[in-house]
Amino acid sequence: MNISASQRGSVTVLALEGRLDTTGAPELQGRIEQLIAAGDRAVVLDFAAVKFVSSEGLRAILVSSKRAAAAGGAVLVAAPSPLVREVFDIAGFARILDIHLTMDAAVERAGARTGAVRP
Amino acid sequence: MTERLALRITNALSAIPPATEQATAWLEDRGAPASAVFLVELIVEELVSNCVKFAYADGDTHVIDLEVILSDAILTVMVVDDGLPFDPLAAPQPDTSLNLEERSIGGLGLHLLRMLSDEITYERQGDKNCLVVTKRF
Repeated sequence: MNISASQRGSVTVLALEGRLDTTGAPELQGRIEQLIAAGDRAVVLDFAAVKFVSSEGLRAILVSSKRAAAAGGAVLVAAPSPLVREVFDIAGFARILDIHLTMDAAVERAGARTGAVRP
Repeated sequence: MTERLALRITNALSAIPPATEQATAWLEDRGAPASAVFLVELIVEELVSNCVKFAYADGDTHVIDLEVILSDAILTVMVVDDGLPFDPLAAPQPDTSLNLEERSIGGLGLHLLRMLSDEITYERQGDKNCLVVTKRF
């Protein structure tokens, strides 16, 4: 899985591409935890190009969300495909994560959570 | 009309991507819906990686037999391994109503398979674990 980072204001966006599975999950978890340890309080995961999520991927998101929350931050999800969204719903992730249909909505919500002023 | 694909998958995580590619290409060639393809990918990923991690105590190479059957609008996937006896249906289900702090990280793989399929059955046959997943589309 490819992960590329960008900034939108104070919000870090990780754009994911490919499969969030046994191979991709540890890398994603590591990247999110690095960002949280470096002081990021809101990380938005762009799921638009993610075709597949397995339980390893869900675990990586859950563990890094817990770490983020413990540090006063949050992990947000943007633009999951319908099948990926269904997986999140089955896993009960809608109640523990901010999941948004669009990147703009996720970034706006992330900005509000960090108390950042929109540029 | 019934069509079948039989795959033999080595008990290694590296064996998952080629098996998945073969199974998904076979399904897509037969016009299977995207949700059927997703389910088969998930079955391969979850069950094979479970086998790799937990099923064998001897460090040897083992083979997991996977059969994908398409019959009209019914998808059946059979997974047979010769690992330690393990009934995945007996594993506790995760409590998905808990909040973030309370959630534990286990049990999600089988939960996903249960929720995305119509039926899952398990049988221990001799020295083999046999799991059958069925979904009507």
